Amino acid sequence: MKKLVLCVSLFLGIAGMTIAQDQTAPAEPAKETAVQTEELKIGTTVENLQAALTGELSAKERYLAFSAKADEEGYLQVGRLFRATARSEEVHAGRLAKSIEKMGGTPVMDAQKPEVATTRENLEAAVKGESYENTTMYPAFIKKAEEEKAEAALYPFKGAMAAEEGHARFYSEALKDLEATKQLGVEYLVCLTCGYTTDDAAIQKCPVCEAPREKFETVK
Amino acid sequence: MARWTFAALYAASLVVPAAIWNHNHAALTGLDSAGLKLAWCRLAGLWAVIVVLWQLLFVSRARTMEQTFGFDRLTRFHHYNGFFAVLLLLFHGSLAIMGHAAKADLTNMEQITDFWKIWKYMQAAISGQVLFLTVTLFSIGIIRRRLSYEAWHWSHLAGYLALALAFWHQIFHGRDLVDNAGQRYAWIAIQLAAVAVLIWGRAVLPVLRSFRYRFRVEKLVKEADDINSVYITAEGLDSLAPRGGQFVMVRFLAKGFWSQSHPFSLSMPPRNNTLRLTIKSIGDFTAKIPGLVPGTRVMIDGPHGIFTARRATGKKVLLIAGGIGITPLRAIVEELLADKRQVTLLYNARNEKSLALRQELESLAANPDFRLVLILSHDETWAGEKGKLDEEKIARLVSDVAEHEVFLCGPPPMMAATRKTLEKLGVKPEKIFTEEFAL
Ligand SMILES: Cc1cc2nc3c(=O)[nH]c(=O)nc-3n(C[C@H](O)[C@H](O)[C@H](O)COP(=O)(O)OP(=O)(O)OC[C@H]3O[C@@H](n4cnc5c(N)ncnc54)[C@H](O)[C@@H]3O)c2cc1C
Ligand SMILES: [Fe+2]
Repeated sequence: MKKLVLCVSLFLGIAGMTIAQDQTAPAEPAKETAVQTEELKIGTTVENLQAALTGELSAKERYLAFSAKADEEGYLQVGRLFRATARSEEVHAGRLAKSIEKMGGTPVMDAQKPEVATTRENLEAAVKGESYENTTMYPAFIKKAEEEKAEAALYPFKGAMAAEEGHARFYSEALKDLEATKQLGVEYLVCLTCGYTTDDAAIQKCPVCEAPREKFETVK
Repeated sequence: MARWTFAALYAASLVVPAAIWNHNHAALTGLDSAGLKLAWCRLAGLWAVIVVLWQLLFVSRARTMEQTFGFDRLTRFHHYNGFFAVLLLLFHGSLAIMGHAAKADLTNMEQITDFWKIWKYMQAAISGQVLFLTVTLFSIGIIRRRLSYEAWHWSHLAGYLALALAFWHQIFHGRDLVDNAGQRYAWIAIQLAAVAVLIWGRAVLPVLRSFRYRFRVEKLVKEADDINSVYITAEGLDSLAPRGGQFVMVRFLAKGFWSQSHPFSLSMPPRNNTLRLTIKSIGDFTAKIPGLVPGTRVMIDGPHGIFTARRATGKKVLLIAGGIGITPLRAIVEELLADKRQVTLLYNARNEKSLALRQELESLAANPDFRLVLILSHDETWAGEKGKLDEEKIARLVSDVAEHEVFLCGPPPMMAATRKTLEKLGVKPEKIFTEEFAL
């Protein structure tokens, strides 16, 4: 009986300590990057959430337009990829909006009108946009949210950041051999909790948010 | 196997999965608070299953374990270990809710609904959790005392259902098991192995034994008020090697009897292919014993327990019986005497009419190495020792009591009080052997 109590208290102790430690741990410094920093205005976390929300909503519209263009030009796989990433941005937008409400703000659901060029140019522009978001904007926003201890904003930012990195990778791959994308290939899966996008059909759990397979939507 | 071997196995069964868990995801580094909650959630879940598997082993009546600890101690392990399991399960469940809720920006209530509606196998897992909690609740002292033994016993079967219900969500949502096929198969294998040990010990072995030894009721003998001996014959009993003082779980295969199995001690050293049980009528099942018909087939699970003459190592042995607790001691006396030990038996009962097995004890007392003292608590006309067995009596009747090894069996309050008295009189705790008539 004594041993049991010891065991249990040990478990409780360790668990308690790690959780407590995590909450007091200093925020990790965001990655330093030089890309487009001049454009980034860091406001309060609610303002940042709104900036990100506008960005995600615009990205969604842009990718839907890019998708239509790619289909029109016969790059069917790129069309599919943009549909998937558009879905992912929609998930991000939803979470950011919810987060703004949680923090007492009112989300504004405005999007910029997309500028559509050729598919190759669209892909190049998309890589840039995503890279900026995942190496500059989101890291800065996360740092700020951590400083403000704004838990509600943290996961939407982190989830979006992780997904954007994946998007950029898929675009770059498509750019390497654009002709090949005229054939339809793999299907994409989008995590409806965090927007994580993957082409791994066997995925069982979201590596970003731990959501199960049931939470993934397949984009045809 | 030695006790520390089992203790080490138990510890290893927790440490090894924890090490693998830690190795899999460097579980506690670079995680945010929700990530940490989910990491701890996984460890609590893994441990909960391991601890529940030990639950199965503790009641599997596996011989190696039983001969090491004894049935009663294993039952006690099972009792406390069960609470440990539920504690881990509560951790697991609440950490899962909080961790996933944070990751998905949901409230805890929304997360529970999400688990229930969208996550595969989570309805089963949540039901399993609730069943486990219920079973545990039923085993808390004050609640259990209000239930009949049968109600409690059957409620416990829900625990097995709960284990099965919880299985699939581990395979589909447990990160450590999803990510690594080897770990997944090992995990499935240990669960199957534990269940197999349980089914083997609790179902297959008793049936096989009943076929092999062909147990049958031979005759019934009235021993005292409300006390009857049941003689059971067998074939080739020697290979089962039962010892006096051990007990068996018996199931009489007759109308009105077959659905229940009850534990009874062997009240005579087994010989000539005969086992004897001496049973006091105290409840629904035992009240029916006088109606048993000779020739009835019997299913026997056992022999179990380590309350036997083999425990004694010294020359002087003191046996203390309270009421029907005389049954194992009656068998042990004979084996101790055959072993040339000096034996004193203090036998407490209410009155002369409730003394069971008196004649055979008195004839054993013809042996100068055996001293029999009958103590009656509620009998004014009794010429011998009267009243309760207290410190004064033990000290007077057995002046060198500290030099004895003691076998003690009787009603639980009497056993607890007597144990205290004995320790006060200088008997070392490890020299006191007991059998409790309650599981
Ligand atoms: C190791 C051991 C050895 C025993 N040896 C003897 C013996 O030699 N002679 C004797 O008369 N009695 C013995 N008993 C007690 C005997 O098992 C109970 O008196 C009997 O099971 C009561 O059943 P019942 O339905 O008549 O009474 P109930 O009124 O239903 O039960 C009375 C109490 O007996 C216990 N009990 C009931 N059913 C079971 C069961 N199926 N399994 C385990 N415990 C149960 C419970 O604690 C219950 O509260 C022994 C018990 C144990 C654990
Ligand atoms: Fe996700």
